This record gives sequence, C-alpha cells and structure tokens, in this order.
Amino acid sequence: MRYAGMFFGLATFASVACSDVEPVSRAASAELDASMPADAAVGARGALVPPEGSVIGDFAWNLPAGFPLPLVPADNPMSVAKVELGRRLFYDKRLSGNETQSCGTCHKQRLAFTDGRATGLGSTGQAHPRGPMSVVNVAYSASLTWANPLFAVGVLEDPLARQSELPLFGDSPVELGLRSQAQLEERLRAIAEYRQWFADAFPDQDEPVTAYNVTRALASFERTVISGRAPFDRYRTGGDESAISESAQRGYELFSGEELECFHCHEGFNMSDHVHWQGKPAIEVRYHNTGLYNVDGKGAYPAPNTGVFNVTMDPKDMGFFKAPTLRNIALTAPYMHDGSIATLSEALDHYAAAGRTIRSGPNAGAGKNNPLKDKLLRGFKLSDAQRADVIAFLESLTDEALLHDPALSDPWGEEE
Amino acid sequence: MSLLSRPGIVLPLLLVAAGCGSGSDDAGGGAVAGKSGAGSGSGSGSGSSEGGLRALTIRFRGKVLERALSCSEEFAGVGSERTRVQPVDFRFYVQDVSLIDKDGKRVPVQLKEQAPWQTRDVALIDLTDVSGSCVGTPETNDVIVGSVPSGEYTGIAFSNGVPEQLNHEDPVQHPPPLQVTDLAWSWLTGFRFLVAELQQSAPDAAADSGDAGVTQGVGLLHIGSTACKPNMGCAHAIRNAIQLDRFDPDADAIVADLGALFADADLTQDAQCHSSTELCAPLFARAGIDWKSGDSQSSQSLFRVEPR
Repeated sequence: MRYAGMFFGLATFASVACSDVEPVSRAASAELDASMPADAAVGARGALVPPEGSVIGDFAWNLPAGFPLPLVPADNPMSVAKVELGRRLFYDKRLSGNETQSCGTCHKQRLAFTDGRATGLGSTGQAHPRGPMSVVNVAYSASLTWANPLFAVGVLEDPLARQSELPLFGDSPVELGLRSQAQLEERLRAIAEYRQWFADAFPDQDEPVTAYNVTRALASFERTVISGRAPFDRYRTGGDESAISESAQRGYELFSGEELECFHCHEGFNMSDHVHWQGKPAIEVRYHNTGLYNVDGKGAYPAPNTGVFNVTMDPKDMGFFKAPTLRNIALTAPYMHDGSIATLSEALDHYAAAGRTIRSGPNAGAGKNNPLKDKLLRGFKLSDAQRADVIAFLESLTDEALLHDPALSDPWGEEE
Repeated sequence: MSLLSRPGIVLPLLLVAAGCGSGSDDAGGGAVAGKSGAGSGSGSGSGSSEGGLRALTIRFRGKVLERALSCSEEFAGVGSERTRVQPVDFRFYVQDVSLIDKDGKRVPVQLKEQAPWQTRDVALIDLTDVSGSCVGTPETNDVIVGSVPSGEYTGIAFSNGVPEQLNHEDPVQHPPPLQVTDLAWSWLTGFRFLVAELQQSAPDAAADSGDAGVTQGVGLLHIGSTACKPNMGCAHAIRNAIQLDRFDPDADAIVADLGALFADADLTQDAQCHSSTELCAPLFARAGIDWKSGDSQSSQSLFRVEPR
C-alpha cells in the first residue's frame, strides 16, 4: 500500500548498490564477524544473549547465537498462526496450476531448501534458466533472487512476499503456473481447513483467504528458515574447539585469509555480504561479477543469465550476481546461478584461476579477463591438502538441526 | 443532480487518488493531478446538467491483416516471409484515452469503474479466448466505456500501458484488471502492457529441420517497461502514444491488427520480443515505439479506424 512513494522516489539508498563494484575492504586480520550488528555482536565467545525484541506476541525467534533480528515489515508481523499457515502453503501442491508442485518441490528441506538440479524445473516441465536458491536465511537477504535489485530492502516494503508472486504466477518460464490470483483464492476458499487457518492467522479480517495474505504467510514462514547451528557455529561462537576437525579449522583460516579472499564477499554471520537486519544502519545491496563467463571478451555473460543487467540494462551491471550464503553449501550442489559448477572443488578451481576459462562451445571465453570482474578475484594456489582443508571447513557449515527441524518440515508428509 | 454537474472531473480525481494507495500520495496524487488538469479545462460551466457529459463506448476489433481475428482459423501472408499463422494471444492495456475535437484539442475520456475490465485509470482489451489455437483467459472484452463532455469529436488518442503510479505497486492489492494474472510482469515489478502472440501453422518445409533449442515459428511481443533501477523507475517506459484521426466514436471501431504487428518479423525464425533484445526493433516500430529509446514514435500500424 505504501509502495508508490518508496518506488518513486524518495528512498535512494539502494540506488547506488547495483553499480557498487568496489569491494569492501577489511582489516588484514580476518574477522568473520565484521558485518555483525554492534548490539548483537560477540563479546566473548559463547557469551551471547538474544537480541531484544526476540519475542513478539506468541512468536519467539529463537535465533542462533550471534544472529541479529531479521527485518519484518510493519504490516506483516510474525505470529505462530501465520508462520504455520505459511508452512502449509509452502508445501501444498494445490499452489500450482496443475497441482503437481509446491514451493517445497524446488526447495527441499533435506537439501537445505534447494533441489539438487542445475536449473529449476517447473510444474509444466519448463526449465528455469537458473537454479532455485536456498531459502535458508532469506530473512536476512538484502535483495532476493540471484540478481534482482528491485526485490530489495528499501525498495519494496515486503520483498519476500512480493517475490513469491514470481514462482506462483510467472510464465516465462512457468514455475508453479497459477493463472491468476482469483484462481488461487477460489481454490483455497473451497478448502474448509484453509478458511480456518487463514482466520487464525489474520484474525481481524472479514475475508482473510486472499492472494495478498498467501504471499504474506509464505514470507512469514520463509523468515523462520534460519540456519546457524552448524558444527562451525559451535566452534566459532559456541566455544567448542573440538566441534570441527583440525582440517576444517585450517580451512577456516585459509578461507579467512588475504590470499584466498573468500571472506570479503562471504562474510559475517550469514557468510554473505548481501545481508540486512533490523537496525542495520545502512542498506547495502552489493553484487559481484566473478568472471564466470566472458563470451565476447568484453565481459558478457550468456543470455538470459546476465545478472543485474537483465533488470537494469545498464552495461556496468553485466554478470553481477549476489554472493549467496555459504551455509549448508555442501548440500546445495551444483553451484552458481546456472548450476554450471558441479562440486565444491571445481568452485575452488574457478576462484583459484581468478575466473573460469571455457575453451569451446557457445560460452567459450576467458572469465579471468572479464573487465567487469571484482578486483578481489586475483587467483591463488592451493595444495591438495589445503584444498581438502577448505572443503572440510565448508562442510562444517552443514546444519543438521535445520535439515530435521519439524517446524520447517512438510506438514502434508509428501516431501520426496 | 447538482452534485453530478462536475463529477466527471472532481469526484473521480478523489477516488483515483485514494485508490492508488493510502499514505504516501505524492507520486500518485501528482500524476493524477496532471491528468485532471487537462480534464478540468474541458469541464463545461457549472450550471450544466447531465447533458454536459455523454456516455461513450469505444469499440475495438481484432483482425489479422484484412480478416477478422479468429482462434480457429489460419491466416496467410503474415510476416516478412508471408507465413501462415494462427493467433495465440492478443491482449493490451489502454490508458490516457482522449477524444480529439475538431480544433485538435484532446479531451480526456473519463473511464467508468467497471470490474473486471476497467478502473478509472486503465482498461484491458482482450481479443482472444482459449478456443482453437489460443491461450490466455476464456473471457474477452473489446470495449472501453466512459464519458466525455458533449461535443463534436473527430479523432481518438490513447496509449498501451498501465499508469506509472500503478505499474509498480503490488498487484495482489489491486482490483482487476490490475491483479496478478498472466499479464503481471512480476520480475520487473510491473505489468505487460501488451501481449501479442501467434504461431506458424503447418510449417510445411520447416517441419523436418529439427533444430533443437531454437524456437521457430513463434511470433511473440510482450511490451512492458524495462531498464528498471531500484527507486528510480524504468528508464525505458515503452508506452506508445497512438493517435487516430477521422474517428467517429459512434460509427467507427478501432482495428487492432495482430498481423500488421508482425509484418516485418521473420516468423520462420525466432521472432520473440520480451522488450529486452534487438529482436524487438521491428515489432516495436509497428506498435509505435522506438526500440533504441523506448519512447513512443508517431508511426505505427497496429491500430487503424474502420466503420463498425
């Protein structure tokens, strides 16, 4: 309801973001918590208190140690009933036109809310050009999807709710394939349980079964998909020195070092520089070109996966994508927006080479020479042992509690 | 009745301003004010009764070149290669409708609030159902209803688009025809202003070419604003500005010609335009839009006038 003013004008914070190619420079000593909010930061390891405001009515965030409060739109407050409604909707195949897929089809809990495919496959068999992103910690993402600065904090009031309209209704390609919000509303209103669940979640509304409320409930559930209880967290903030192997500890040192430079973009509690939270002083919506492609020698990525450029058509934005969270990264292969890297080891090859070279075919080109590439991609050398260490560290980011949390599971008992 | 003496101007303005979102009305209010400014000039004297306004029905007619559009027929001679085609989808939004009086002055048409096809800001014309080769919605609509001050009019002007102050709002909060349907262009937080699709029928020679991965024989034009930046709107508005002279609203219809739109497109090849690639250039030109700037241009061949 208040979008018009925000879109038109007046809030300008995010406008610089998509052309912000300048990497954030950090002090030489790698500090994982560089992007932590001051009031939620780690004082001493393990000495953490939940941030104030963790309980809203009957809803409690129960955040992992060191996690700040997610930003919640004023007109879509959290509640137990709304989150539960959102979970039912998230996993309900009746939210697809032909009732064959739910959100959970491409965002499977056991794969950290991804689908294991290189690129998504919609309900009518159309392939998506990009892979489904993990829903994990999406409440903290400064913008949504791989590279769309319009779906950002500071641009839309509830980016997550708005984003759900893409898979629900989009047709290029068809994902869930609903034809209209009227179709969705008619379908849900015919189900007595949903009439009750919507009434519970939106108690002050006469007709709560609306597409608007579907998107708000989905967003509320997705905000609870939070991962921060991996072995690495027990090591890092829990004070448990034996929570991860010595190899993983060495890998963490390499990851955090100025030779590999990984931590600049994969920084902070969410292992991503693309984060926002309640009370964060500035909105930062950063994207990076990592030299994954260079099909014309001038930096082009193969269409339609041109990143932020696809939205802005600004040549400076070619190949710019957000740095996704690395949490549960061992479960979310294949990697990159188009699934073009199969394994973590190959992902390291890409960064070690300072950009991937593709020798033949339509996408041939030396990503290393991509003129729009982030300056921090300078390349590095890894011994086999060091490579194993970095991968051991990345594997220590797998959060078993997330994968088996009943509050995040399919209430219809259908997850494949 | 005295309240109705100027309602065409004043009341709708209030309704519209309220309709585009509570709270921050700067953007919406400003845009609407511009529209009403033009309108108030045409508002006749305060003493005039309902005779000051007249009801108006603007009729559209789908065609493929010279024949009536039909989802169950084939049409020959479409595109640069004179291909045989079948219609698939043909829908467009219409905003900023004016009649042009004999002095050349544009007099805004006040659209009637009439769900599901039009609000006071925008109307949706849908010329295809789901029979035969067509997809989309079963319902169709070929008219815009509204009112204008009584007078003598000789032309009409309009644009295919959704008003900017509504185009980026969350469609799940809107009444039709601006709800989320398959005209929503969610990824750019806007709407497709015009959707025109057809397919080559019986691709006689092309059938055995077997080129996997290349979509051949599909003509597709999706028009919507592009080059969008956060909080800055879209650099390419891609709204045309159609003006048709010698239009008598009581006696004439506006022909929307799906065939003419694709006249310069090679339908034996990929001819799909999502408002983002060079393939759009010939299609945009026919729809009255300059490809490079995204601005309107005076020449177009999508619309023409003929007697009802």
